[in-house]
Amino acid sequence: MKSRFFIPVIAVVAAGGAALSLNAQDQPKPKLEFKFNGDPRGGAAMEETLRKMIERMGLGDEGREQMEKALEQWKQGGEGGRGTQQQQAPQQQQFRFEFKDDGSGPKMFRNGKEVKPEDLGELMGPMQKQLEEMFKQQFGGEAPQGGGNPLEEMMKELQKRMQGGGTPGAPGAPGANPLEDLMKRAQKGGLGGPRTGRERSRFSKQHTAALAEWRPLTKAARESTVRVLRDGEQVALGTIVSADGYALTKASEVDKGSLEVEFENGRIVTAKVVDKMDAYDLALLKVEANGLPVGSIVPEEVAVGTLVAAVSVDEDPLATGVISVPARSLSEKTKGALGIEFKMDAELDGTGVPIGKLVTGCAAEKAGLKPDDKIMAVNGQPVPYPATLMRIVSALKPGDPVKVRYAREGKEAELEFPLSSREELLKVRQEAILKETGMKQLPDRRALDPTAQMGSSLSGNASGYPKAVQSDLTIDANECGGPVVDVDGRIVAITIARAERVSTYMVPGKVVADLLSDLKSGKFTLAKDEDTLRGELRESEQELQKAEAALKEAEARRSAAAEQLKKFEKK
Amino acid sequence: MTMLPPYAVRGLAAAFTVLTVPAAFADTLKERQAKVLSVVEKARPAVVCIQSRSGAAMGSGSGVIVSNDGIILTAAHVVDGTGGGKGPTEVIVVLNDGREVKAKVLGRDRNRDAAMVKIEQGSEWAHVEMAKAETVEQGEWCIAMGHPGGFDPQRGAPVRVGRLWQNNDKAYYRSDCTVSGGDSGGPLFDLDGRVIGIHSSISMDLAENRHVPIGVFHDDWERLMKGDSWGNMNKLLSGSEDLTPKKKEKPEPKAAPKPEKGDTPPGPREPAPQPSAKTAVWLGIVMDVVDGNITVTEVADGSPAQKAGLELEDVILKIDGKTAGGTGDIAARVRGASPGDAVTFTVRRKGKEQDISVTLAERK
Repeated sequence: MKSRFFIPVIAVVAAGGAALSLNAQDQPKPKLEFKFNGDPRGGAAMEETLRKMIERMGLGDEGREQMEKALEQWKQGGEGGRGTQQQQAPQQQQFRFEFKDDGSGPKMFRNGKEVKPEDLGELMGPMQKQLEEMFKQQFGGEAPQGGGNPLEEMMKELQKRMQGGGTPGAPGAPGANPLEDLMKRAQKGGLGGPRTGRERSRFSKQHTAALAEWRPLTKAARESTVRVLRDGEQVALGTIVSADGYALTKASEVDKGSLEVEFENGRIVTAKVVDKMDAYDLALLKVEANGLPVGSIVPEEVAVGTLVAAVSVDEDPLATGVISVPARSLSEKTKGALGIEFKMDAELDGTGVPIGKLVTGCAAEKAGLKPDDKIMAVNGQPVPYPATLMRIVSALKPGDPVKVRYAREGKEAELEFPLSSREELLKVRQEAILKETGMKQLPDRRALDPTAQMGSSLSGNASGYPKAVQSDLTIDANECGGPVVDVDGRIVAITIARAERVSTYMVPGKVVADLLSDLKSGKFTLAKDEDTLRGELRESEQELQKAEAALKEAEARRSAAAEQLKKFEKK
Repeated sequence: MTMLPPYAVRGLAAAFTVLTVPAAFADTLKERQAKVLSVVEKARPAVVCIQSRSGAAMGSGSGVIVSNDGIILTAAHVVDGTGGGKGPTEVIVVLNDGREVKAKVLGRDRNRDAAMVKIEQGSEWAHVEMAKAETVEQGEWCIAMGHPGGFDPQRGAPVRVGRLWQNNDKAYYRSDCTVSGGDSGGPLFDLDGRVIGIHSSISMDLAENRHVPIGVFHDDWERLMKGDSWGNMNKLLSGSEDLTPKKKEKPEPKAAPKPEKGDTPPGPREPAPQPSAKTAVWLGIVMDVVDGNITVTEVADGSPAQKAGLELEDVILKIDGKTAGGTGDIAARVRGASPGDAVTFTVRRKGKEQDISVTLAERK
């Protein structure tokens, strides 16, 4: 005789409002459905759990009433819910576990077809992750780790049984059935309590009701999103950019270890980095899959004030926010600099900016400007204040000739000279500070301002991008590389760095689209940005000059040696 | 054996959808976006950076112009002296376009972290309206601006959007618009571009960004205009982080370098040290200093505090028999305890004192 054993995690699935799907992407979207066996106490326990969840949702009276109604419908096995039109009824997918009393071991069936133990790893990994995710969302806290995680225990137990045989203990025997344990612990509230009142405050923008506004809009984007796993741990997200298995992700997070990607439907496949673009910290991944959904990335600039959501593979977006600052360069290489320090404590009258110090070896010093000279105009534009001067000069390119009008001891004059780069200027300044302080390395700006780090895990690589748009999306460091959608559900950017408490940088859609043009033409190489190319040009020219000099020197030595040799030959 | 009919879960899942997706979700988002875009355009020119310079040291905060003749709302700690000094009488105001003007410090209400300054010369300053306190609603969407990290001419004032999840006029407002060092004194706007709060402090929680309620400025208006400075900030700020970058002094040998003003930005980025792990104990209240009293302004559902019977508006007098000097005393006591420990609060509720013992739980 067979006994059947079904996992009641459906309660979690249901309350999370998310479908747990484990089959291949190209099939119609399935709904994972776990069923509990004939034990009525199981059903009652589930009901209890659901009621608990409803309580914890922090809903108002009206919401509670609707939830209760839904719960009744759920108990009766009905469809119910006005939302069925919005939430398309998905195709059912059944998982069934059979345990035979003859000790031959349990079998797992998916839609009636047996799942072999060797396929289990692929199924169990993502399943557990998704369940943990759901617990995290549902209970507002991390699913307990290690031995304290009943899900993990449950999965382990299941896996063990699937592989090694054995029968489940008699229902109800303490500790014998991991499902019973799960239920008991859920009822005791041992599955991670709410962290704080505010995090699940119904007035918060991260509350499920506020996030749900975005669900229909993020649907397409999340299907073209993958989790990027390094040695089994999520280190980033990826955005699928071609149907035959290419995805963009954050390069500095995937520079070592064995890589895999996990799709929205839970499938995990191996991946490798095929190309990188250092300037944007982007990597191109090739994954072993075909027929993937590709998100459409719009090559438009997005205005400050545009509402956006950071998308993951889950139904709810990771975070919602706004475009904080329009696209700008974060690369000091591209920005021009005079090479001056402003005079602190100077009385500014709006006619110009007095120089405090000149930065050694930079443009202004070479051109002959002096401390206390007052800079009045740059390329004919007045520069009444430091910020105006900085804004104008930074927008120019290093090496560009610049006309500087200045006043010295009451007399005005003009100089024209090529600009330094901010990178050069910084290097000189930093060396001076290191020398002055005896430090080996300058701390991060973020280390100098602790408030910049509060509340988030920050990306290590978070600067230098030739063009980045800034948002306030509160993602974590291991959630970069995923798409960002606007209120029309269009992908307008890809997140590249969680920079500070208030800022997340994103590569604009326009840049991504340009980079991908090569990909589409069959050359799987990320284009290099202008700065990198200019840098390479400068470097190779310098190397060429050196090589030419070395060649000349070698030639001279050769002829000198040949000349001297002649003397011996004569003898 | 026959299988039971499957537990149909779609009904429940769908119920969530019904609950959470308003019928016209896209319109709502788009309407909200239209408002945000309009506030950005209109209000951004009124957002300023406030620098108090003395010698080589400089502190940088934010503010917002609320009148034609250049009255600026800011936080008291932006224009207050360090080490109990009187504070500067004059500050530099950097406007959104990079112009710098001098401004006179008017008054400071240190109890509420409110202050005003006024641009010394000129008129026709781009400015915004102040909201009436009674129009501010819990849960309303709001927009934060300011100059985190100081004025950056290539960046301007970053825009942030969130919701006002707590609007207790007697305490701080709290929103999930993230702000950080340098934002202090900057404005929190409603979707009509009116100032509803002024950034004051934050905690480790991304959702905990505290703002001085706009009502404080209405109530204090005359005193602040007259130039009065009063109150004590220590009590108010205890237990949270000050948003003004610390005064940047000349570097001591072997000490951290001084970030220079000039066309020299700070050093290269390295991975920042990550904040240490959060405390493991959970009490479940939010406290504020209201009229000089440590007051419970939020009790989390299902929290140990709620179970033990702590209520909104309870005034905490003592913790474990010791007089609580500030919210920091209580936070320190709780952080120092372990899950399962009992902590006794002596509270005043409706004029009566009582002891409430709370068994702390583990914070997940």
